[in-house]
Amino acid sequence: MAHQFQVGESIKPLRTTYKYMSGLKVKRPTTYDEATYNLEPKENFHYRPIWNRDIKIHDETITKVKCEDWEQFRDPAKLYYATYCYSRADFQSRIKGQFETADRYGLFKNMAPSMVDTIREFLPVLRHVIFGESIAYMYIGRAAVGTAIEQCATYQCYDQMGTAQLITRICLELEEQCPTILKDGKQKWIEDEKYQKLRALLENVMVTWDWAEAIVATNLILDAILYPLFFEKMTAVAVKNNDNVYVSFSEFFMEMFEYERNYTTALVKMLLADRPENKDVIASYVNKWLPLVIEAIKPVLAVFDLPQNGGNGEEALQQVIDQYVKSLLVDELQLITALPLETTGEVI
Amino acid sequence: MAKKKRGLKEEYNLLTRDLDWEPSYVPFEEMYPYVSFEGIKIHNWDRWEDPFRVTVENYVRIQAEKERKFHAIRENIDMMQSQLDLTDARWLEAMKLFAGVAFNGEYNAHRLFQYVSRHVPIPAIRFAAFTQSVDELRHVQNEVLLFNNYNKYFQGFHSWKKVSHRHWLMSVIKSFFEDAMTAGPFEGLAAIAFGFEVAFTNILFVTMGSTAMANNDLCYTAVGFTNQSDESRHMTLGMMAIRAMLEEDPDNAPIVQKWLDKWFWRSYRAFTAIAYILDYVAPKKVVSWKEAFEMYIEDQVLNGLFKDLEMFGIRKPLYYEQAIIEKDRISHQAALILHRVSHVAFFHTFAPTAEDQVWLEEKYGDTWRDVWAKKWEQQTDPNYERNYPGLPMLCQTCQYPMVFAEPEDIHKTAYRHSEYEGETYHFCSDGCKTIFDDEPDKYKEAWIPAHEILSGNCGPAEDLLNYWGIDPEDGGDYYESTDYKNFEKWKKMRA
Repeated sequence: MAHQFQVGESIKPLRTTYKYMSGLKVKRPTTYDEATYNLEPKENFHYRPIWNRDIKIHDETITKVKCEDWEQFRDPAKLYYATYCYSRADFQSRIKGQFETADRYGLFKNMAPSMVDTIREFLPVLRHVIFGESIAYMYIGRAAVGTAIEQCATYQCYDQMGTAQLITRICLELEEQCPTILKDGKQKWIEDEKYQKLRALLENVMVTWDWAEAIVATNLILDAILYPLFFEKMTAVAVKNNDNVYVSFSEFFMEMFEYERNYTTALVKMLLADRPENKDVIASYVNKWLPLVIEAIKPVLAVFDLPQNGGNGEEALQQVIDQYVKSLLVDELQLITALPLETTGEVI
Repeated sequence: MAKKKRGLKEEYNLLTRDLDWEPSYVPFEEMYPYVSFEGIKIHNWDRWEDPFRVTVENYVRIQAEKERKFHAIRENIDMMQSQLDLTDARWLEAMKLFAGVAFNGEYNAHRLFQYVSRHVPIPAIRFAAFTQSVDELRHVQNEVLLFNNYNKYFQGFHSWKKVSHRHWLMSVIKSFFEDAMTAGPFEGLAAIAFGFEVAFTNILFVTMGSTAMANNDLCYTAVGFTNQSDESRHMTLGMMAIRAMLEEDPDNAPIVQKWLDKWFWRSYRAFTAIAYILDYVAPKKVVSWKEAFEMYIEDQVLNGLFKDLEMFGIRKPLYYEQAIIEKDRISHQAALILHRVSHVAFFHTFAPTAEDQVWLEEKYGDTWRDVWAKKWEQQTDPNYERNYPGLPMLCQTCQYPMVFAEPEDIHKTAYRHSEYEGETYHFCSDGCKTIFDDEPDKYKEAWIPAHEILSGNCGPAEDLLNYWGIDPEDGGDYYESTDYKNFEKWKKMRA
């Protein structure tokens, strides 16, 4: 196999990359760029979908936002298939290590009953919330335009299934103290009054056919409240209950949240820069979904107010909104000037 | 550990299907709007099992391992200038076709399986389908990255995107995948997971793979092996999905039968390109199309898979007898027409060399001597006008040039036609006509390249090559091409 070239002799390539790469506005295309840019078909479609004759196979008009060139979007994490797998395999190794540590020191087994009682209230329910979002992202992946955008949606969908599976495994660790934790969680999700607004909201997210709206509703609003609330604020509750295993697992959830939040922020920035009309459209998504999400989450806050937790759910929610919603939507992106916090009490 | 003991099966159930619930705030028909219009009846949505028990955790671990190996090989191929190890750069004419066909095919399959997973609410199928969607993204990205190694040194790869969406010949495969993407979710699943993957991909990855290996093509070999490792999951999904539909309700059988008829024929026609590659393009040939067809399609599919489905009332696909009759024809028919269109192609064509002809005679015997050798003799006569005037007429369904012969008469080109809404549509075969007649409103909308060019939708005629993404050096005869000359020169430089 090895060949020795004569001194001074070389075989020069005729070109370094595909011709169409010149259409991507970057200085020097990376492997991510070559693996991603311009894969999506744009023209000369043969047939109309028999399931919806009003749209083309890839159709820019499914969403109300508009963009001159959807292919210019870049994922800030620059994940293409290979780096996605490397990143998530590493992620899974860390999770595995955490389970092993927890097992070695009996952290789940010895978790304070007060903390077990707290977790069983919300975690097995979130398992369904996040799985439901993954179904929404199957649609978003298919309907979105721009290879880099649908690629992010695809990875997010797979991540969400992974997150739902991770929650399942954490709950299984707690089965000794709480044998029916998963069953009860599912029952709460289906029947418990506290969760019905959230479930109604989620089912409506799942049929939100404007894919950009669905991304904003989930990544910038619903998840921007849900994840920090239960995987950041809840860690203080865990500490109060002398627990650190929940704390150590929380970071995994926040990492997944950061991935979706970062790419969505980049997407919104691109759309705002592309044309001014997009601002009103995205603001209308926010104005529609933010009050609904807050209304749906309020009943769930009760878990913070349990006696052992000595917390204040309303306060935690307010902090999360300021830190994760207001800071981005009002301050950084200037999509809206103030939060429409005065909810009408209306639910979806 | 005193954890509750439960079987793998039960635990897997908790990690997958138990996550799902029946919606009640949004009607089922709104949540799953496309689940019933195809007529498939499903009574128990929870029945099936994924035999691989894929979870996100084990998927990313296994795939990361495979990716590390693959990309190490990819970088090594580039560094070692492995393109110079090829038996002959002529093999790359096959890879140019592969690039035009497969990159877009894999990408479309990625998007199709997003749709299937969203709209088929059968948990086991849904998760396997989404995992396949992620796999297909893997395949297109790896192929695009890997084939840049060839793109750096050879013509015909540089604008694969334009080629696959604009070039007249690529309409064959573009229409194939777009047909599946515009179908309902169950048909889309049956089309690609069964009709294409289960029935045909062994030829694509195993037969083509061994031919690539024999020609020292490390790129295709690398891609073929690593893709094939995902295909076993995809084929299982295909089988699982077909059985699921058939087991659920006897009323599903005629619907499934129609899809198997259609997608067998559509896949079979699309594979004509592979027949051409195996019999003609490969400098060193391993298996003929006829042999591959007998081994994989006749033995494994027609007499194997379809036998297993007999118990559900499924028969062999319509017109399979014609595919058998054609097994010693289609590679030659394709090669003869492609030889005449190299001035409007993104790859080089050529007449079989003396060495090629010895092999072809060995493999095709009498039909070679009586028919194909004579046609080549005629077509390579110096007085013969090699370049085909204009573009060949294309079949409305499969969009191949109309070069296939009557099943009963090898010397007579088959023409079929249908009248619909006052228009006449032309077909290459009974299979393609039947597909059109069954859904004329769909197939009348095909983007037929010659029509679009004449309607002015592809820019001015003198600029067509540019529209298709073709440089002047891309087409023409292989043995007069810069690719051939460069390859010979580089080999000398390296020696």
